[in-house]
Amino acid sequence: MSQTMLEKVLYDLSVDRSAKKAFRDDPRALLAGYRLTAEEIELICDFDLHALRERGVNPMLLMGYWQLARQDMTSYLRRIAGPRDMEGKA
Amino acid sequence: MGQIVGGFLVPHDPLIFAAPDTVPAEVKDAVFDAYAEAARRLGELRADAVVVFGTDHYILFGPGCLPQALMGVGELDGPIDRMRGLDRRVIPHHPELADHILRHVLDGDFDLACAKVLTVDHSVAIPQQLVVAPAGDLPIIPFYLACGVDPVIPMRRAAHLGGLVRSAVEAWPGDERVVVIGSGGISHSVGEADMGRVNVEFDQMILELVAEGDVEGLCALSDDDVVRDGGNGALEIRNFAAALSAVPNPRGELIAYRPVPQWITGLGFVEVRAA
Repeated sequence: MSQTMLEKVLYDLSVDRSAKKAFRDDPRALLAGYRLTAEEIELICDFDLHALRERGVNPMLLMGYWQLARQDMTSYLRRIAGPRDMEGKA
Repeated sequence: MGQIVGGFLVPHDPLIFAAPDTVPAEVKDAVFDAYAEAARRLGELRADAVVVFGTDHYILFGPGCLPQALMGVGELDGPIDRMRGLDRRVIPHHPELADHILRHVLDGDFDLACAKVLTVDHSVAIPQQLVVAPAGDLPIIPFYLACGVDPVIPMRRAAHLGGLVRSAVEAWPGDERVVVIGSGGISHSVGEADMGRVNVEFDQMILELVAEGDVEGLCALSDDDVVRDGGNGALEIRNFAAALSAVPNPRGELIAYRPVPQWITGLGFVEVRAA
């Protein structure tokens, strides 16, 4: 598990237009280019905010990356403030 | 010699642009009036340049390079994170004074990253557009202190940098009048489960320290206590510590304070007078 690599991926997904497009087209193909475990890839694809936060990812990166799910900040807050069993694919 | 003639502490809450109508009109008017009042007072100071201490939000700097402190010495524009009402524009700068401050700070044994061109984010652009531009579109000299991404700059280090900026301005051979702005806060939680929690008690405590110009009091706060009571966003009170430290014998005079949960922040506006 690498908090640093998770932050690298989420930073790219927050600020890099080409990374955002690649993620929307085929997230697993994009993420295969990073040094991530299979579990980490699933967490990112599932927008599992709780698990990513628990792994030390900066919440500002989570907010930027959440916009990829085409969701607003109200839904972000509902998800991050909600219980873990509310997690699901965005 | 140059002179620091005063300062301001103002918030940079992007929700005032991103979600302007989520608060009653009276609240919105009070907040924008506070920025306008800061601009009016800045105009009265007859400043020639404005130093702004801002915060990166993991937008300008990535995991590949996270400066503890960075200074923009050349051409400026921004914000990079533009939003409705906050357009991206070229920002006036003062390359000669900026270069002088950079070299003075480096000579003061403070390692400072520099950006020879810089597209600022909203933490600098909001005070620039709402306070500095209306006061005559003065040139700015931006600093970014690490407040939002671990490891953050120690509060005492931020205060030390503010003091070096002051001595740099005073060592400048010109007669520029310089104002400093500390951008940020006060209590707010960004991206965490308690986002929207505003702690009026914490905000009042910070405003009391600011009123007294009590930089030592700010430095005595542990980061853990600040995050617990004021939220992770409140770590950017180190911008206040830097700005206060740049002003000779600082005393804070409250312009306005509004706790606005809809905008997730306790919004404080202070003029820092040089005694």
